Amino acid sequence: MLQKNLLMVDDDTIFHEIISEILEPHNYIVSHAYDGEEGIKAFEDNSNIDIILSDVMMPKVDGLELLSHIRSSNRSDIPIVMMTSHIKNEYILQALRSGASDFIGKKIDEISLLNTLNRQLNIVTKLKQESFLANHLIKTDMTFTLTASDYLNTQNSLSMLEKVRSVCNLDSGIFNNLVIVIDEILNNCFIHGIFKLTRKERFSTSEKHNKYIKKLLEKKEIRDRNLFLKFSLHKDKLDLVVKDFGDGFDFEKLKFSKNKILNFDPYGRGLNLIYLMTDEIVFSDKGSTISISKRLTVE
Amino acid sequence: MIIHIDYIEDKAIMKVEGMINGESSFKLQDRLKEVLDSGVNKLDIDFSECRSISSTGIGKLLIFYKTYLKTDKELRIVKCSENMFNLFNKIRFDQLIDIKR
Repeated sequence: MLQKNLLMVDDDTIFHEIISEILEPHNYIVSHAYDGEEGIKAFEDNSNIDIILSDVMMPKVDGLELLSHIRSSNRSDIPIVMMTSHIKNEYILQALRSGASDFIGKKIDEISLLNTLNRQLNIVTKLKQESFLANHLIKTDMTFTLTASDYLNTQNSLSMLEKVRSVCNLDSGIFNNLVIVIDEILNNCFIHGIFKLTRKERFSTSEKHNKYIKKLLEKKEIRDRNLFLKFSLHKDKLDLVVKDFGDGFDFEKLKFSKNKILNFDPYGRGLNLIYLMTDEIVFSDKGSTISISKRLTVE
Repeated sequence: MIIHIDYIEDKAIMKVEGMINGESSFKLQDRLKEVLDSGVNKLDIDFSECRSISSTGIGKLLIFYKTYLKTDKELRIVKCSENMFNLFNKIRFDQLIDIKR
């Protein structure tokens, strides 16, 4: 069971002992402050505090002022359970209006104390999980298939990119970077995965290159090879997985560095450019599947 | 991708429009060779209407840079779109060639 950090704020020292005795066997680490001022300082000094249990009536800064201070801080979502020996409606209402998460009497009952604290911690955990999911769940999936012939007829790749741009509503800077990345990935997948060209087969002029590719495309076995692309749009990022049917490569040997892009040796220049323009790059299936992730925020 | 080249006395001004991808980088290579063969001593490249460049395109520029500068000639990128400027800056191309925005 995970440890929970509780800050106990009360001017009654005996009460601190009682609370520690109850909570520590249940995996709570209890830290102590003896008035509202100390409570605020302890809260500000310790970012690991998960929950606060505070008295209402205290010298210097009282529980309501403590509550108000924390609710206006940048960790305002921390659960704060208030307690008082004067169970009067006016106290309860005032504390709840000021942002108290819950309220208990000082006549402590172990079970109800634990239930109250655990309930509040569960609410926070659930809210955090929901927020995480909202940010990371896939909003839209788009899948595309490109054929071997699309290498020479780039219209399909361009239509695909325009569709991704319109669906994802991408900023032009991000889109232009994405165009570079996708162009590099597709080029690598076509050259190595579909046509499986050796270095010698990569001619230095467009004319010779295209002629050679057209010759290769006469073979049904090559014509039938496809590339699969899957774009997944999240709230804050775009993921892309591209799979070809080549023999892959030893990606373990890859060493990424932006300095390699300006090397006169072209080997790896494209992959290094992809690395530079994306936030994450992962190879799988022996190198025949590449997954990249690009944050959708303007740099 | 479209490339316009104007020759004024000893200088060539090349304007590149569109995207330089794997395919069009061959065209860039051919046009750069044309400048080299013309014998001019200065080349200004205008990338203000160019959206992106692939690694092959970068490779073509590098090869040209190496060949052209061997002969003490001057190469500058005189205008650049924001995207291209950022990319050149990221890959430190601006440390090889004088690049203006």
